[in-house]
Amino acid sequence: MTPILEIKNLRKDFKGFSLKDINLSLERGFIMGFIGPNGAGKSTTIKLILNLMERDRGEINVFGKDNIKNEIEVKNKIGFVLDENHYYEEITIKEMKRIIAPFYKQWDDGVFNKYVKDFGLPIDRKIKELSKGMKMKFSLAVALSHNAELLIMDEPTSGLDPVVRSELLDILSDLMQDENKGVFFSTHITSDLDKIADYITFINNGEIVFSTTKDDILDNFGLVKGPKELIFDNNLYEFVGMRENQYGFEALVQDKEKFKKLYGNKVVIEKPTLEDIMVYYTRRDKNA
Amino acid sequence: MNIIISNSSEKPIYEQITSQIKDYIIKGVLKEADILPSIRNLAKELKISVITTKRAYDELQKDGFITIVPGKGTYVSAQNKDLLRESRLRIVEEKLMEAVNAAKSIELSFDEILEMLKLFYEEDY
Amino acid sequence: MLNLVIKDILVQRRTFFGAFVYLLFFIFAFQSLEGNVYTSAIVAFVYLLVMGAFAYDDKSKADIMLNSLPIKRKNIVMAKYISLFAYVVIGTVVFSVITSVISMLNISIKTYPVTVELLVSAILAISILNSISFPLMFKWGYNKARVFNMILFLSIFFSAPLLVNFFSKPDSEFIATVVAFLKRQSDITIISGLLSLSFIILFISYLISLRFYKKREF
Repeated sequence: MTPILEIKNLRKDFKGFSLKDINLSLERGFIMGFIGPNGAGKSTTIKLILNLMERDRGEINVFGKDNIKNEIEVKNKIGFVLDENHYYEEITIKEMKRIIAPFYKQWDDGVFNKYVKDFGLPIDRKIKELSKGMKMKFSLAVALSHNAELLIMDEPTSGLDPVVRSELLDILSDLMQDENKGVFFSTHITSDLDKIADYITFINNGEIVFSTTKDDILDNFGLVKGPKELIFDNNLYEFVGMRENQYGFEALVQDKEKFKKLYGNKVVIEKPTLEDIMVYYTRRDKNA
Repeated sequence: MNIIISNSSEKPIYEQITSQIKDYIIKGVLKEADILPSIRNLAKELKISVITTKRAYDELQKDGFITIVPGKGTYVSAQNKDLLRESRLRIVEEKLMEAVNAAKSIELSFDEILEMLKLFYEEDY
Repeated sequence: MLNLVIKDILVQRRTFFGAFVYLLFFIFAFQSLEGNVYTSAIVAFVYLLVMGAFAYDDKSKADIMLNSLPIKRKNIVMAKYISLFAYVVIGTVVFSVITSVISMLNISIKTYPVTVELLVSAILAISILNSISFPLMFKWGYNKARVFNMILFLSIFFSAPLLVNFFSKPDSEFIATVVAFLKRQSDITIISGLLSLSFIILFISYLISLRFYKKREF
């Protein structure tokens, strides 16, 4: 089946930063988490998908079609929630919707009103008076009200409290009951994705570090804690990253089983979180 | 049917699901032709990835416990009575071995264990 | 595209109110300009509103939202040019209403009705002025281009009377001949000539703006 989102060899150069060899693929029916530290290139990638910036090289195919050659057709079926929701502050939600709706071919007012009700959106309030959480929910309501098939979210939960974040995850779960849809969700708050993501793509310094199923990552990586003596045992290459303290060390290994076989009874091996993985990879690159 | 997942367990999540469902089938709680939730529904309820639930179901289907009918649903398969009995026998063996090991570790004699076994067997649990 | 023009109007309610007040002010304060009150007033009115729209877009970073929606960049650019005409129409209507009301109330203010000549010269002035500032807006955004714009607007505003004088009392013979030739043309020829000139200027500006805006990154 044609992937709902496919990026091949994407490249974009800036002064002092480059997005290089970005390759990823998302099939319909799945959620892909796009993680990485601040400045890694997540927003840039998303802006390139939306053609807010022009790519230097590579391909971006959405629904099997080039995102520039078929820009309008593609954007009609994309729902987006960006980190700073750029709306006109002086008008109300209702008026903002009236501005946006006509541009979408399949706008559905009935669906929008249902979300207004479900989210409790105050449609007669001015946008500048809304909390960050309300603004995000409004964005989401718009994104889900025009029969979009791909939902693209750029750090939608940064600055939001855990309750709202949890509500968003519930909404995404509901959305994914439709196996025709796809979600591409960039964030540096990885705890959101630990649970519901199907695939994880990790980007750092403008390059893809890995892109695979979340299960693969969490089942195979291991967080190892052990005595300092083990560090001198020629095994540093096994570690993605390592952190020493006065009483021992903690390290991330890519192959938990292999490590267990070698040192099983001398160490404690735990399941890492995505955050652990992201931090160790980021620190490794910083120290390199 | 209850499925309880532990995120911090050593056991991969899909395995936790397959064990629990297998258990229900072996014990007869889930019977032949009972409908199981769809993989997406299960993923949503448990707040896990649909890839995980799919893997769990694929494993269960591979081992003959369930049948996935595309477009219709997932059903508990007709269980081979002998295989079922064998699985249950295996559980009894496992548990007995555990008990024996535990007993040996505190140097309980064979007669003492037998006594305890008789007590448990005759009581109504 | 029409939706974008409506959007600009919807989003600027307050500015509109200010612009209407401005028109009123012009009518009362610039009596000495006689018929040209309308021309100056409408040029300022349109300028206020179209720049207001750019400013508002820039402030809310609306370009990011608009370009994420299924809207072609060329429509975003075109809409701003079309909005010029929308504002001319609105401004002219309001101006006429105000002047009629003033004459009806017999206030001792002299009012001059809008004539075709005044309208056409206003359109020409608006075309020239905005054809220069729009590409700047599309290339750099309102905030960065603001200073240029101010300078541009003020210089045109103050040089206009000078230019008018230059052409009515020309120093060179060549200019005198050209002006005499033009004056001999029928009204319709002059009007259609000026309108065509306006459209040509606007169109060239549109092409330049489009080129700049297409390259812009958000």
